Amino acid sequence: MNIHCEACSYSVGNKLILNKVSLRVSSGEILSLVGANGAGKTSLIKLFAGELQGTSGQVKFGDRALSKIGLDMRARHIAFLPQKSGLEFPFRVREVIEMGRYPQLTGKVFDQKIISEVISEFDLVHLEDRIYTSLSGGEKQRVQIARILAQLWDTEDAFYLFDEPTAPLDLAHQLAFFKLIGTLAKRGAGILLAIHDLNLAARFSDRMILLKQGEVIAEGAPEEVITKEKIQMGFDVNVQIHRRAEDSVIQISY
Amino acid sequence: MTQMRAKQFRVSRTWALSFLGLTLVFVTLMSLITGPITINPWQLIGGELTELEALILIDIRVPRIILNIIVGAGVAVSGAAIQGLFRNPLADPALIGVSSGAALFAAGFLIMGGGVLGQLGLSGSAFVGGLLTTFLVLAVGRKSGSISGMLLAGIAINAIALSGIGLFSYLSSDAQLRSVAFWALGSFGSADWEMVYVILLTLPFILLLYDQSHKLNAITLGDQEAASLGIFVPGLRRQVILYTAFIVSVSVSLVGVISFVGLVVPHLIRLSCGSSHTTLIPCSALLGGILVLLADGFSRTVFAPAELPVGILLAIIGGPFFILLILRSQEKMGI
Repeated sequence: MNIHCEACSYSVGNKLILNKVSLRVSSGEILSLVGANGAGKTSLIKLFAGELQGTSGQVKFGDRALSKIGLDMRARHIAFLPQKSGLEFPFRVREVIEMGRYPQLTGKVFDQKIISEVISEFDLVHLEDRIYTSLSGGEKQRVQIARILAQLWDTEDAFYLFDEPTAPLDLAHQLAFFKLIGTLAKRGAGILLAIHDLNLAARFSDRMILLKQGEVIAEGAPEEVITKEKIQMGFDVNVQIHRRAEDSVIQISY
Repeated sequence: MTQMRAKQFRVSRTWALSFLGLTLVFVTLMSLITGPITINPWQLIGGELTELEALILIDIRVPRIILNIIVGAGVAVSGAAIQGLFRNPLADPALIGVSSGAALFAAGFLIMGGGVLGQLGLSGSAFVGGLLTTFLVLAVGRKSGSISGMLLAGIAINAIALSGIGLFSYLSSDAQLRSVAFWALGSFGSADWEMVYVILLTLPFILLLYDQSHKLNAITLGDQEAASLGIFVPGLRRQVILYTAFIVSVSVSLVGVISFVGLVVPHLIRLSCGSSHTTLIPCSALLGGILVLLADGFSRTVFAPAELPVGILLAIIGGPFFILLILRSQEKMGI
């Protein structure tokens, strides 16, 4: 299964945000979107989430147009975490994660089992009974991620869309996040995420896409995208690319 | 600070519902026996009432109590739903213009000399006014396409309606002024069985709001988040606003503006039982019923045989209480 778009454009007024972008996320892969602020990462993710409609081109889920799939059906296969979440009511952490299961029709007992699994897998056991609004920014983000994970935890043909999920997280939880989505990808989930940390992206992605002003300027395996020339082109920054001696992990320094 | 309340105290749903349910039963019984004529509770239970007592009970107190409970429940549930929908714990059904629109039309009806049509005409015009104002707020809000746009439209249209009421009051005679004022402050003084039949129409809508509990939970996360959980947000918004507009305008048309219940009751429930609408909505219904029953009980007994409009009492108690709540719980409520 895959979600893809071919030559999708999106504009607001006269401003072209995405210019004939083609993108395919397949089951079992982690695809990272990188690019400078305003490159179009968020818009592209929102197109895939069905949150925005492109001005031309169609997003397809398998061979069906995403816009032709009912919202409830869509929510059973595509989970989307926006950049900023504005929950300001004092729900318990567990209650917030439970909301992830609303679209599924799997029954209360099964849902509770999944929620407990997600809570323990993502190191939230000690926060489970806390009130969401009393948490720190990073803790809130972990709860929101857990909600998204719970939404499709047991689902076949699951696709997760994350917009800068790790920005508020500490190093340990950034790594825990990537470890967890790695497991999900192995179980067959497709994952698309927008991310600013190039080292993390290079290390944990199967493929990367570099966007600049709404156009794809590089695409491929991390070592094909993270090159001195392409980073210079995408970010206007001069960097050094190294390979770690022991496991040849890509590292960028500036 | 946050570390200290690592596990915030919460009453469980079952306990809260049982406690509030029993309290409602108790307060109902108290209301049945108190009034200008006190009824002996043992005679009430044994069915040994005099003819006069039975008459008072069946024609006056029972319909009034039913009206108290359903109006209180409806207004409180509407408040809970509107607060969730607008993601703002300080929102209130009045924000979408229902109350002021209903008040404006009722005042207009009284001043224009529609008195010949009586109570039905007054209620009818209040109802039409409430719904019309809501549609207007919705229409303006849709153009702006955001929640804040709708809230601002609500504020502006509220202000216009209030100035309209002011104008009508200015034009009215003394007698008319008194009835406009009495009505705008809320009063159950004219409760009868006919009004009970009308208020029963709001019950299905209260249940429909309860039916939206999960969706209301999801929408507190944000519009995008709710949509990605499979919820058609504009549809939900329309439904919730129409249901609350119906409940509130029917209530306002019968007993006038019942202030503060829609604001304070959900707030109290959230503090003690949490934010999930599956708990919030039924608990708000019970507590709303209890509060209005108590307030109306006071307003009809304390100054008997005269009556204090219940809205005044609710505002006198509710206002300072609410300020206290805000001062004490700002951090917890995340306002």
